[in-house]
Amino acid sequence: MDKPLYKGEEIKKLLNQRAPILMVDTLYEVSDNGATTGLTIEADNFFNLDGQFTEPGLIEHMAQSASAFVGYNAIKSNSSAAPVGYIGEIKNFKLAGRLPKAGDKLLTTVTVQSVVMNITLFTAETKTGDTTVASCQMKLSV
Amino acid sequence: MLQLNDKYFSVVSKEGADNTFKYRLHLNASHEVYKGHFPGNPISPGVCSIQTIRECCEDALHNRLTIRSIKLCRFSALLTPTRCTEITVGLSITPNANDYTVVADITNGDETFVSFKGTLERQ
Repeated sequence: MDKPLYKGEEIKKLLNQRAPILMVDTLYEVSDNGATTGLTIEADNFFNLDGQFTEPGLIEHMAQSASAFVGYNAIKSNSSAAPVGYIGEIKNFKLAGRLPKAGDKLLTTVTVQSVVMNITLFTAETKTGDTTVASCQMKLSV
Repeated sequence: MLQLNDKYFSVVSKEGADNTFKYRLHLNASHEVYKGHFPGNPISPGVCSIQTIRECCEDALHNRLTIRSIKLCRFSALLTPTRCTEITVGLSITPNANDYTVVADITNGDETFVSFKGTLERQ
């Protein structure tokens, strides 16, 4: 993969969430209809329980991955600040196998299916290495 | 560490039996998550509502549970802990052979914030 587009502190330009709930640390790639993002799960992550990264954390990470895509486009197209995004709906979330654990690196692909007014419908899939961890469809309101 | 009971919310009262339960919860507007969601603008994260539903199910069933799937979870209104200090979590839990089907909502009076349907597994 090429050099990330945004990482570390820079990701805060794309997202309004802050510690302890900032759940994307890297934006790797952006295409016309989607993005690839990442998160390294630190030992003190807010969503950890007994050393595992939990389902709400996965969902928040997926939502912020889509939000980072929306934020990236807002900045590129008209240099405005990244909008605040809210989850409107989650559909067909599936936890494929085991929960990730502290130290794991999540790699997530979000693909926009449609945009109607201020609502973006997208699909998301999160992997660790080659293993799918979770997937879902989501509506994000901005 | 993700455990919201007694930190993010506290239980005011609970009632129910068999498969139907109601939890009345007080929301703690000074919980640390609001430092980041969002700075100066506290809004309850949707995923914390999902975790709240999970923790109420765990309390009702006296078991730790994994969220295996969510068929649909709709957030129909923004929940802000400064404006809405108490919520009701309603649960309908149907046991299956290997897991539970959970239909839940988060309301206050006539206002519905969250509607949830999913499958939770005993850990």
